[in-house]
Amino acid sequence: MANIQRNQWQLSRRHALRGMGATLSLPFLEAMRPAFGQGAYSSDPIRMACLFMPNGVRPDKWTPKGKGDKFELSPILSPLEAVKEHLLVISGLSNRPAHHGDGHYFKTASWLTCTTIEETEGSNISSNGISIDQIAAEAIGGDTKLPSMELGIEPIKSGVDRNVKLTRLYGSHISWKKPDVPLPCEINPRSAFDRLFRNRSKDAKNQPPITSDKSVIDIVLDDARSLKRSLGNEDTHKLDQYLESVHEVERRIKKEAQAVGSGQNISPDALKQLDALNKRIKKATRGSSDNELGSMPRLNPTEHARLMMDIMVLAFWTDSTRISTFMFGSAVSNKSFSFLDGVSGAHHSISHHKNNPKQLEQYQKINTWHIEQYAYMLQRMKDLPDGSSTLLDNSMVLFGSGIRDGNVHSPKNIPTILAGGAGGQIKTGRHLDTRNDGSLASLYVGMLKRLGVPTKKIGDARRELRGI
Amino acid sequence: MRSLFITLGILALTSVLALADEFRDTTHAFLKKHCFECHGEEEQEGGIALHKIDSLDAALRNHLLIENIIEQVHSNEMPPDDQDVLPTTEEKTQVLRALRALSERVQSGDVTQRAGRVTLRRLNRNEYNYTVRDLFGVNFNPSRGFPIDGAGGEGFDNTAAALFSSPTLLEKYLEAAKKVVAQVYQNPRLKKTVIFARPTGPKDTVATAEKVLSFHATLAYRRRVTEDDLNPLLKAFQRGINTGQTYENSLRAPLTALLINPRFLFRSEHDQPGKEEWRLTDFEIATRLAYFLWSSMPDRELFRIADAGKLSDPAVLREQTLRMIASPKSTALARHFAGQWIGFHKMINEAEPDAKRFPEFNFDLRKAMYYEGIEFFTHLLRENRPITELIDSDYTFANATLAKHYGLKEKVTGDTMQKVAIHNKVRGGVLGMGAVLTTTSLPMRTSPVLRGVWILDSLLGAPAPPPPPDAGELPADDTQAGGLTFREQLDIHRKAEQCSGCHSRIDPLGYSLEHFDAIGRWREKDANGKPIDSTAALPGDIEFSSPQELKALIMGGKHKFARNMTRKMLAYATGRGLEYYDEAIVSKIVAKLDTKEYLTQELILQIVQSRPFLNRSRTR
Repeated sequence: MANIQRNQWQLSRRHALRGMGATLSLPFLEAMRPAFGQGAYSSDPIRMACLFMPNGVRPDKWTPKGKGDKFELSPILSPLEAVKEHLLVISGLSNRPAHHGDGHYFKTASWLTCTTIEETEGSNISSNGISIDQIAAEAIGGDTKLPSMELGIEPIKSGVDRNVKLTRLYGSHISWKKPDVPLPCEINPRSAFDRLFRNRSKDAKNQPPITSDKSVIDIVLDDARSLKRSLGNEDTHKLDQYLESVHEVERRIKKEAQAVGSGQNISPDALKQLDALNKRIKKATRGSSDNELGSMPRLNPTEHARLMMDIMVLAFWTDSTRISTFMFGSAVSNKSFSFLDGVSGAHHSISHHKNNPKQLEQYQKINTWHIEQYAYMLQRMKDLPDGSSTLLDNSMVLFGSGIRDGNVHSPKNIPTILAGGAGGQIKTGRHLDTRNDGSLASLYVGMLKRLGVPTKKIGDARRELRGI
Repeated sequence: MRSLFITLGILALTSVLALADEFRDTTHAFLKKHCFECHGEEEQEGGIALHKIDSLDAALRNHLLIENIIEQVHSNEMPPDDQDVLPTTEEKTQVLRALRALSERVQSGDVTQRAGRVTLRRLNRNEYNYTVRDLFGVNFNPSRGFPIDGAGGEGFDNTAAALFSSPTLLEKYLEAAKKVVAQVYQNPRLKKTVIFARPTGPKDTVATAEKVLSFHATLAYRRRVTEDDLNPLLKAFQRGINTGQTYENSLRAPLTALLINPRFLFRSEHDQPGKEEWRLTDFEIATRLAYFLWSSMPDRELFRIADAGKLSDPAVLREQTLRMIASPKSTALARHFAGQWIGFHKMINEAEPDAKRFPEFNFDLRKAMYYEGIEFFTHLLRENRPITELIDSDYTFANATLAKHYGLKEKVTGDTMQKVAIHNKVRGGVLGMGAVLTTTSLPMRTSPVLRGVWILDSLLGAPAPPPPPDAGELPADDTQAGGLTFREQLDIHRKAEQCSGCHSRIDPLGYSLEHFDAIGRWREKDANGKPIDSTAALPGDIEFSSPQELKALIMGGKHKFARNMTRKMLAYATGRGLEYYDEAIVSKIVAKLDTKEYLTQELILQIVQSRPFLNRSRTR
């Protein structure tokens, strides 16, 4: 009998793509520039990316030797040699509000909120805080096409971890727009690209014009008031979440319309880069079929991570967004890393190494792979001119994990690197050792300040980390 | 007074107030004295926080934790021996008596009962697909790029509280809505069905549009529509006409808007101010029923019956339920209820056996394993087989690929899944399914621990506590065992005192399945060429060494299995986690099943007719 439904999922490639193109905008690089160059910002805008790695690090191979500007990269950090002068490696930070509770979920959902999550299997999910990317997006996201982006490479884990009695959702979300609104990451490079640069996607061309987004959104907004009247309390809350999303999409549509109206175009350089990326995505996703079992792209993990990073980089460079998060994986991720030479097995399993030398070696290789991807992204940003300097100079790219040694889930001295100069506001090329006394939240206070988003309090911090 | 009642043994008369007193004087005092040090505000070892159980209500709300405490105290696992102050035998007896009395009250319904309350439910990805298919007749998978929905409660992705909205999701809804309507407009046959009326002239243009739009809005909103509902749609239509668009093109925006309207995307249920509990309307019941059995909207017949107010009639409800089960659409229950509960839905994205170690694990095999689960559950459902066949059956479903993989004796040809007789009982039931055996393995090797945990949790509803973080894991690769067989390594690990308590109950279950490799093939030797040792012994001298014996063992506890399945299904049907007041409902259903040969349709009928399914209360 299932054949009947099975057919429902079958669909030709042509069909899937039909309707993807829309009346949407040109991505705008120079289009937006004059306004910001001379307006709200006295210099180039600062961008912020936060990259999350699950399952901690091999502790004895992570921390650099030496302090201040005289430091040596550790074995795990060695792929960063070429961008060493752009790094601020920070040791000794802790996310104190997340110290207790489960070893993974508590430390993932709260990595960017610095709060204690609500312990629940699902009835009252709450991070009890807003993540720094969303604090920033709320404050400065209105200036760009997308207030923020949330990307990743591992499918969201559904279900409840009955072992620790927590919804797995906590392990799959680091971005919290509100305490009870987690933002899922996009893992499909095609969707992420099209969302930003849809008219550079060749597949979407030559589509017949269809209903405009605006006309459809307007109908729902027109309806909103009568909707609210008809609902009860908690229900209104869920509905509010929805309507806020509608407003945000409305805002995006307006922004795009303005960009189209201004008649300005994207720089030829950026166009070239976008087209090259589009081609790569096409190549990487080729063969991902449309039937139900192929619903997620199965890509080469390295290329997958790099595609997502390139999307982030180009989104920053074209000033389509200034804020992004990225998840290499979910808490307790058991992604197979057998694709690496000398590694056989799954991430979380290997992270519980019991100090077995063979497992430690594999753990280190997995950590190093993550750092290599980070290095790739930083190099790309370093190579792109931005205003009077480079994109990396005008950015803050955070890399970290919620725990240190995965073997014991230690929440102290968590691995943290900040790269990029934030427009000359951060002195990089240093190893800052807070002697196990630093608060992760205080780093965030400092980062937000440099984004132009002064914040009185994040988690346990009221002032910025000394020494940034 | 309280102690008098207890000595007289007239517990039934004990008021809730007295129960609260007893909780405070006995249970809370005990927890405070003996448990808070490790499971209180300061520390929560094993993630157990008992300080939150500070009132009778909190105890009820955490009724599963209460069961856990009973077991721990009863078996002398807790408080651990190394504590300075250990409870006296009398203290223990007293607290166990109090906790068991509470637990019995929960199970029997001798505590405040209510229907429960589910919050506004967003359609999840699957529900969205099925619903647009049934609404507009399109046949593709528009929610393909939607983010995977999180889950809560009993672990299902239709749990209302765990379904959120975000701008990204809304953008995807918008894209999907446009795609759906585009497909309708591109297909002349579909277009004619959807736009079923055409104006004869300018005079009846608006009236005709209203006819078309109110028809679709009724279906989309799953109830009779009001003027409030229709006005924005008609206004949009009018805007189209005013800007010189054709009748058909003017309908385009309002039809698209229907699909992103929260009345469509969310399932809401009415409140009755001033009342504690009330019956759902017929439309609301029709909607619950349809999303339970079909993961989709009600069909015309169900709408018609709801509109006539007949669905509240138990005979009609029963008849409709059986009709819906017989429909091909009920495959959705196999896919999404059984798929998530048993775990074969993990074959879609999550299962990732190591490609170098298991090159045989290709897409065809993955698919066949997934569909084995679906076909099997669908068979139970449509043919009204006993739910216990999930544990033990003399058949399964396979195509040529899967039959070869399993080494089945019966000849199976072709790609289509077909019912195959199992003679030796190695397969048959979920424990012999490739999907289960693969998703409870690691990428490179089997994990008797994961398989044991899965049996305890998913089949018997008795999850094991989490391991301490520094427990360590065995090597990810079983070819690197350093001279020891994998079993020998696990045995060493298990002997550590801090591990043995749980692992002596977990691992043996998995040991008996060791003849199945990490992708569910039968094997005689492990990865290092050593013979498989599948002998297993549980505490209490329960010995077994094969899948057949494991199945017999679980069949011996079939009440526990039935109770667990009932809990899961009730949670799936209501879209929320279970509360203490649901336990009595579950008890009743299981008792009924016991007299009805555990037939699958009986379980569904019982759930559909239950208080939480048909009613809604003011508070959770």
